[in-house]
Amino acid sequence: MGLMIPDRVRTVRSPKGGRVAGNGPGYLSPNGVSLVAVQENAPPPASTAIWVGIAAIVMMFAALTSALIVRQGASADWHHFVLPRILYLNTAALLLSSFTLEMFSRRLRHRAPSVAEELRASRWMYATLGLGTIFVAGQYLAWHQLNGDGLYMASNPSHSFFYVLTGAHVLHLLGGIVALVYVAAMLKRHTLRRSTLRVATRYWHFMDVLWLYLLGLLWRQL
Amino acid sequence: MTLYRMPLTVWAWFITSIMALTAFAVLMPACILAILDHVAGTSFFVPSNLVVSGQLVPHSGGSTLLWQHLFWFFGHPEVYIAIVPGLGIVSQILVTSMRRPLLSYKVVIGSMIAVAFLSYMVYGHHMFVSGMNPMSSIAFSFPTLIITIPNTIIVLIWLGSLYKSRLRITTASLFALGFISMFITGGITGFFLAQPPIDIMVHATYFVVGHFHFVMALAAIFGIFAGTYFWFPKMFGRMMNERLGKLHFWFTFVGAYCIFMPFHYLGLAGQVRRYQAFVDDYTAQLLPLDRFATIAALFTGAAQLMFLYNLIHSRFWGDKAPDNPWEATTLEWSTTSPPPYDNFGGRHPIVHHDPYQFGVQSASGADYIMQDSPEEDRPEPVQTGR
Repeated sequence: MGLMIPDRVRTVRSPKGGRVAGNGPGYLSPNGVSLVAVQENAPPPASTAIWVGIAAIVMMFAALTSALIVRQGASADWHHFVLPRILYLNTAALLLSSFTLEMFSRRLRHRAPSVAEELRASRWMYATLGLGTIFVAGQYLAWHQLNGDGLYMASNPSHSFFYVLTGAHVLHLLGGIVALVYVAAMLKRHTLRRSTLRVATRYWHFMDVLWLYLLGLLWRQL
Repeated sequence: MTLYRMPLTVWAWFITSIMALTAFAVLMPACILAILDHVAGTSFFVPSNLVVSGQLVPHSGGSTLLWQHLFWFFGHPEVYIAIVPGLGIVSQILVTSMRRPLLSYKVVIGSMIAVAFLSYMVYGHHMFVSGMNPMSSIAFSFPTLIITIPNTIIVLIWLGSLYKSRLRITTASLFALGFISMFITGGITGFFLAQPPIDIMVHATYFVVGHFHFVMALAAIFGIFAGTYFWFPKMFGRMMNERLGKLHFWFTFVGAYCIFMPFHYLGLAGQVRRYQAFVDDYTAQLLPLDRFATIAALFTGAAQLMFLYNLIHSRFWGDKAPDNPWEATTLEWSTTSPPPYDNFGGRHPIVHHDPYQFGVQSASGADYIMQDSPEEDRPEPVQTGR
């Protein structure tokens, strides 16, 4: 029981050894006020950091979107083309992966799970990893198909934007896959923190929403 | 610690971080597109019929204006990324040197947030002559004039707080005053440049060069110098030489005006930027003024050797610094100079006050209360002349 490590701030150790600045349980400040209560109410650093990352990624794709719209209006050389059908399959895989990840994280989030429960829940996570990999492979097939039709990176600005936007998204999604592999490794060692799980889940859902936005944009503008 | 007990320096860094995060996130994709234009043959920015070194470039239809939009969407917030930390540093040093709080702490914070917010809406004022739609020029001119309001509020709060205060003249407080001077001088020319009809006349002239050197480059550098002289004792446990520091300030202050003030006249007279030589009959007459600015620049540059010497000499042979040489209230001054490993040596400072408890009668008889002192807020105000 209780194999998930709850969020707590790591103890800092001085070079000479001995705890100097930890906010570990039971640490009292000089005037006797417990700092643990303060620490427990504060969100874990990773939880804030992921919003910082998401904000930067939102700005990046906002910039690319405005570049697409301005470039499309700048000259009359825009080539409209039909998106490869496989993109919709990929979308389904990614949506499903968000669902499976949510199933996984809900099973672990609210109470301390037993080893057997952890094992059962982890199937949902491996399903997520599999679906994520299917999405990446599917995107690769889409590029391959466009290449076969003579739509290259430099053949037209609309083609360029397709490759840049989907490529940038896949790169960010690969980061999500790395995070999930890390979650899997930590789960195996029974040292998964709730904050790690929460942050990885949040990022993955964000990648999902971002893809839906990109698909809408590409479908409308290309 | 709570948000409204954070020192203004920390607030400034907080706001700057948010700006840097969102602004650089736009520069990066723009750079990726530019790189793709170079290496992958795409045409995001490279226009049709471009001839480079006598060769027609195979790209077509790209928009150079698009690059300007993306670049300046980053570029203007970047100006404030450079200056907002200075606003925080100067506020902190002034308060400590005046021994009284600012007229309003929260208004300064609000104004810095307003500056950060507006900084994203004004970037088009770099592009008034880029061929952009003149209507957009008006749309960018308006917020550019609006952004002067929060900046003016901050400056007026500084000046109002300085009025009749008994300012302690240290090198740090001198550089803080220098910052205000540079910021005002550069800000005033900003009013002119914010208006497209005037900007079209003086665009890409030395008037613009003078403007942004005062408001951004010099002000930021004065902020850096002020911060260095102020926090050096905390960083290294030794004082910097005040006499040499003040000399450095006066050389830099006078030198800076000698270099960049003539730029405004040169620009108004029609001297443009980025020319390698001025040989025609008209611009040749302006050369004496250029020469004056060059000589001033060489002198001012040489004067920085004083700073360098002071920095290195004080680091090793300066007077030992006490823990709180400026009698400041913020947390860093409650620890030793230099701070021990992990800053507070195992102690967890508890913050009881906002950082501006000056002009009070503390239990120990001092005119200030440290942030981590459990004394009551403002027990008894003492007369400071206001």
